Amino acid sequence: MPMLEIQRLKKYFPVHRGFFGGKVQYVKAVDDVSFAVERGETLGLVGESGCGKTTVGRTIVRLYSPTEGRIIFNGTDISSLPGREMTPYRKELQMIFQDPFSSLDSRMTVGDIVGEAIDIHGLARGAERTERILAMLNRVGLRKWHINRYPHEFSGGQRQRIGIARALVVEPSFIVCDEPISALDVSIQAQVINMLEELQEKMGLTYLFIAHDLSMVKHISTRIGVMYLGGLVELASSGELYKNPLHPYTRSLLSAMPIPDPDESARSQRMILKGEIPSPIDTPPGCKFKTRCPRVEAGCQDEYPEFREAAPGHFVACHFI
Amino acid sequence: MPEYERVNADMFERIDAAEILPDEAARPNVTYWQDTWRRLKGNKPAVASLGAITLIVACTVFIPMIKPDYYTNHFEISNRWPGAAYWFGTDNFGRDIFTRIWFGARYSLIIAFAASFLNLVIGIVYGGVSGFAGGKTDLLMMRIVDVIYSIPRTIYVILFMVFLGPGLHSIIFALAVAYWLPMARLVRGEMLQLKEQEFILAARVLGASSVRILFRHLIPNCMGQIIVMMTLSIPDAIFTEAFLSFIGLGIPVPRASWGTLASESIQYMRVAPYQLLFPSLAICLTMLAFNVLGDGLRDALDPKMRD
Amino acid sequence: MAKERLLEIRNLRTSFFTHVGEVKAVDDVSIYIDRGETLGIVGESGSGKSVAMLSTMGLLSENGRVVSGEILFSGRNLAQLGEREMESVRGSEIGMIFQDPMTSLNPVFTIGGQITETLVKHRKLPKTEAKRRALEILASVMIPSPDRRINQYPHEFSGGMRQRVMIAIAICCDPDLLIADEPTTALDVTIQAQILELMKELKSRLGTSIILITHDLGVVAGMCDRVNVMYAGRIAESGTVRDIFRRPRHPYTLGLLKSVPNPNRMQKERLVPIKGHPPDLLKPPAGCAFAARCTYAMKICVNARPPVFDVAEGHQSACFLNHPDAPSVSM
Repeated sequence: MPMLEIQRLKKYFPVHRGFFGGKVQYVKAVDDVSFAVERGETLGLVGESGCGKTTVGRTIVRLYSPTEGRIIFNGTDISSLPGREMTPYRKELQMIFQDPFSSLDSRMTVGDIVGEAIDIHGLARGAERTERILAMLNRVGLRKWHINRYPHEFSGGQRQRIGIARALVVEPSFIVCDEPISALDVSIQAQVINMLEELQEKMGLTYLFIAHDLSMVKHISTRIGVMYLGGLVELASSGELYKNPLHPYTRSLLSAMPIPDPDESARSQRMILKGEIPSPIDTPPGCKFKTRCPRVEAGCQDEYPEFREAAPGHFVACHFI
Repeated sequence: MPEYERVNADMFERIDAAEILPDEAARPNVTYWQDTWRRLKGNKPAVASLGAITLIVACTVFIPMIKPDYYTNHFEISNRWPGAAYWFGTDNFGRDIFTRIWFGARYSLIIAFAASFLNLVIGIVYGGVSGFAGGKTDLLMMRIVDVIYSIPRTIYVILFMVFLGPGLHSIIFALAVAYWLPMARLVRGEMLQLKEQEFILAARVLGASSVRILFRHLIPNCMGQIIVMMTLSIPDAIFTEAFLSFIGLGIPVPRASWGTLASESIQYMRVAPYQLLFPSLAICLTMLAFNVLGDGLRDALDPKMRD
Repeated sequence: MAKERLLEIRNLRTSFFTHVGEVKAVDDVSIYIDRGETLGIVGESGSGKSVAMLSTMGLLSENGRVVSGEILFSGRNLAQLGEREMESVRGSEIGMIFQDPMTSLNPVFTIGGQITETLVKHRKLPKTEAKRRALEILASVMIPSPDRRINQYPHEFSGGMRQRVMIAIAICCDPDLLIADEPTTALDVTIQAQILELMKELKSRLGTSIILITHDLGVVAGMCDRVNVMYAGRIAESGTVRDIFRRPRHPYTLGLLKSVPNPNRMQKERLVPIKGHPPDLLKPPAGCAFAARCTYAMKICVNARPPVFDVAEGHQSACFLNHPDAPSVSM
């Protein structure tokens, strides 16, 4: 049994138009997405802005309630649990955020930021609470005396460590990492990635790693899902996805990736996509990629291609595969 | 190969520089408010205003204790010009204007502080609920604010005063009821903006209750803006009170606020202009000090200026 | 073809004067670019890469000042020009593209208006001629249906399209030099590829030299002829793109290269991050700014500032490891 299973997940956000807000349209941020995450693995979720990857992550930790579909965590459907019943699962499902500046409350000390999680779940008090906070700070590479400091005294990388400590102090088993390194400097990104890998090993964590930087996703992930305009277009093990991408979008995404080597970069064949991502408001029927796809045909116009297994463990949603 | 300065061989010994370089642990802890205070201290006009306000408040508290007689008529010394005996002169009834000004300050300042405090409470509760709840509740609550806003505030203050009759309590009540709107809008705007910040999301993912999020995260983070707003609303209240007293709806005689003092003296303006000058000066200087302090606070709290 | 020097920055020092003290954002930096070249300036936030270019353009914020140094561009020292003279250089002889296309366009004027304004101001073209030229330029940066788009406002354009408009404005007066400050950082990967392709194409068509400021080594590898690596306000290493990627002679450059995974490698390689974090520029260390994070740090590194060592023809490194007496290490 997979640790987390997402079944036909949909999340629509209403947009009110018109003078009295009467006309309602929907942003289909996540439109019929299914996947499973196995215990101990890292599932990477990539895609460009507006593809719905962040919404998937936020729906899993129930920051949003899904419009439709099921979220099954360790055998329990948590997609519609009310607040109180959700609390024990909140301890298991945690999240690491993107922005090291807005993700920490600037009026609280590091100790209080990390300690809040302990307080909410009533895990420890007094000296034991302090001890737990210190142990956690040590684990993420921060010093003892950092406990009384305020977030603005730290660099971006250190702030991200504080955010990781806050998520991990309740000893969760599943972490949604929502672009945890995109706001960091190159030399700091590697520090955080290595730390996440190390913590995964030591604490037996499972990650859903959301990012737009394909090279880092490839580096950290066991399997990778590619999203486009609210839908999952391809899912495969990370080696397979890079060696043998099937969906035209995945191919163009991979070829657009800058390669940090002058010779390989000069040799690489670029497949530059035309046009831009269409608006996600009331998307028309048919394949979502049809407006930019180099292979588009009549059949793509009205029918959404089924997301199916093209090769063992390699799923794709395209009429041509 | 060009020549480089010769260097002793032992200088090339391998070391771990991080160990010998100064540690950041030595830096003192700075809280948000300490940081704000440091920045405010750099703003000379704001510090001067803070000093002026402290002085005015101190005088308001202590001078009436030393000179308690502000109401007895002494017709033998009426309309004396300012001099050694009567610093600000005397009025038509021979009362010492200096004493009366500090008694007036009691009314003016109490009204201003109380009304602003009530504005703050109503504004935080109303704006907080509206912004935190969002959606339909927010829409409804804000339309109500818009409707109230569309009628000039002075009109209802006057209506309230006519209805309740002049007096300290009614003037505070009237000001509080009419002047909380900007505060509610401010708090609601801040809430809406903060609510989407990742640290609020993080608290929700941790399972924090709404009450906890509101009191531990949202309100402390709006506090800076709220204080600025409150500081800036005090001069507004002082002015409105003065205006009401001036048109005869304020504090009844023989008690007197600054507005009443100004109003009384207007008929003697030709013969004794000093009787109008001093209350007006008191009103102007106090308003100026609060405005400058408010601006200084705003700059000191501005997150864009944080480094 | 003989190389012709287009821009030469010599010993530039730029500081910001804040209430907590002087921040030496750029500290004794020399950079040059030849005609027809693409120069990459790589560094992390706070390395001074943007400030060096803003100094060149005379666009420093109020509390920033060029303390010393020369900025030589077509026979003039830009550091000494007045605001009025700089205005005629900016946009006409040097074009600029910034990271955030959202804030660098004026939201209340049409796209066409903003391009024609530049043309009328610098090229003294009549209005109708300027408009015709604006249409041409919009077409050349591959904005679809330019005759319709020219009358639209910036908010009607997507991020990628706005960056194309920025490029159109930057190149409309045929500048000799284009300075692009993180032009693709705010864009999606597929849009980034489009913009980079466009810049390459324009360069080969118009012969414009480009200074590309970026933190992305992948972008540098694909675009640049030469690279300057900046760290804490100084140039750590400079050389051809192959020098930097194949034969780095500064531990910081090496650290950066090891911090990014190469997606073409099928084997998973462990990343080697640079430990610690950049120094506080308010209190810069006495010696090498990188010493505290350096794996190869030596006693001399904390005591003295490393001079610039010539490693090879056109390849310089500011690291004591290149001193003839230093122990040799394999990087």
